[in-house]
Amino acid sequence: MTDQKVIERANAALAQEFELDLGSMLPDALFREDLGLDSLDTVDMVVVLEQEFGIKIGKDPAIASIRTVGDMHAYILGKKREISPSPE
Amino acid sequence: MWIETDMTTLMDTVGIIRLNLIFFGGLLGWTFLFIPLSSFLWAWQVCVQRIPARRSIRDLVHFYGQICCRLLACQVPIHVDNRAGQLPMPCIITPNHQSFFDPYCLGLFRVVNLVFAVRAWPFSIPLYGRVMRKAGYLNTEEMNIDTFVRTAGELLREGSTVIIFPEGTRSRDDRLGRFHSGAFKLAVEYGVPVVPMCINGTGRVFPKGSRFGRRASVRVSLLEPVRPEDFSRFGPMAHLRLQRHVKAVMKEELDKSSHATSHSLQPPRRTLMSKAKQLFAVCFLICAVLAVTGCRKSVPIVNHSSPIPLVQNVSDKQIAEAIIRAGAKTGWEITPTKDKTLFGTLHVRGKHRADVIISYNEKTYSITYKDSDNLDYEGGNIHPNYNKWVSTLDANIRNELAALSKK
Repeated sequence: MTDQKVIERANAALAQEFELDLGSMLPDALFREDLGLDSLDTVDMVVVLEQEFGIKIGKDPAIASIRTVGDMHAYILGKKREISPSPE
Repeated sequence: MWIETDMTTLMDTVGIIRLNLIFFGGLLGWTFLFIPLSSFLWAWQVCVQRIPARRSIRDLVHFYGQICCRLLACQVPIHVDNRAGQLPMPCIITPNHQSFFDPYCLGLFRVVNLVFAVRAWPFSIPLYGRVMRKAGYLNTEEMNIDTFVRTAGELLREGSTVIIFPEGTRSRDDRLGRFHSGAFKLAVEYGVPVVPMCINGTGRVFPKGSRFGRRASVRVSLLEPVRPEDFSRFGPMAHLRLQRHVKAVMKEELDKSSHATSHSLQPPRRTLMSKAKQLFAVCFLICAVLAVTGCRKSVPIVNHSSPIPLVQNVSDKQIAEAIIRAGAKTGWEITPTKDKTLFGTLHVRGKHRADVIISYNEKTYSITYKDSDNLDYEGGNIHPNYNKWVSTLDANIRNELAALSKK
């Protein structure tokens, strides 16, 4: 799966679950201030991404530093490379 | 033509002024009356009837809300529709949110031991905030999600009914906003049913940002309880699927609520003065009855029958042990008597005793009244506390069995 596909799947999964407008999920959009997600939503976001990509995130400390949609993309892509390091 | 238009506008304005004078004036008067009245009733309930202090405050707040609803009903039609019937105890009620009046709408239904989980700002309202803290209401902005779930879970285990507005704020356009999942996470974690509550019209009576009320029809519906066990197959996504389902049924109800039939609290066709007299008479009568009787009458015994979550490779012995653990949480001594049957007994303050028979098969378990002492049992009726204790036992058994199914 290409990086772009991963980003599209992540955006689609979060947009569907949290009723977000796909068009507003820009890389520099802040989850709290721009998209209205709070700390509980962050916990649910982890669950949604785990289910979407079949990965285990759990209580990874790196999650706490995710502020923007772009941060989330970078995190997911990093996880993807950990699982399958060979380029596609 | 312009005269007619001016007259219509004038009549509308007069109507709005009358509504606001009667409602807000009545609300102020009722609040001032309620302060001394509730102090007396609270002292009576705590000192004479031995009702826990917090429980007394919660039920008095519910009584306050009942009269507030009657005040509003003098001016606007309120349609009430209870499809939930007798509410499971405990449960989580999830109302949508259109106006400040929505919490009062719980006064339209027979519910007890209500605990509201709300944001921080209501706690800063003079008098209201103090009562809310005394009642043990939850300030969701003061705690993280884990603390909230744990604290609310303890309240559910005690038999409280928790009210959570999943939108978290008032809607500006009468449409359902995005739901937060806290209520549903709590429901799944503790195996407690969710009762959706649909409030339609309060946002038109008291629009957000407006200081004055206006005439509009209000409809309040309690929908059938939704069991979280039905979503256990979704694993870690169970609470999100439960949330999605509840929101869908609420949206459907709100969309068609203007067509449903129900009984209504219609404002009588009377003069302003006679409406005020009627309200005063209702308040006085209620106060007089409560003061004279002050007694909690016996109620019909509620026996429970609940489904057992799908459990694979779990023995009868493990199910029995789960039931025994559940009972131990609230003081029940439960012992096996014969195949798939247990006997439970509860002693309270050395004066009251309740005995039940708990039996189970592969699909269901049941809790049935057996005997009691000093609980006013007669002809199938019993002291209401018995039903509360058994409901808590039932909820704890469901939690323990749900935990077994996850292993």
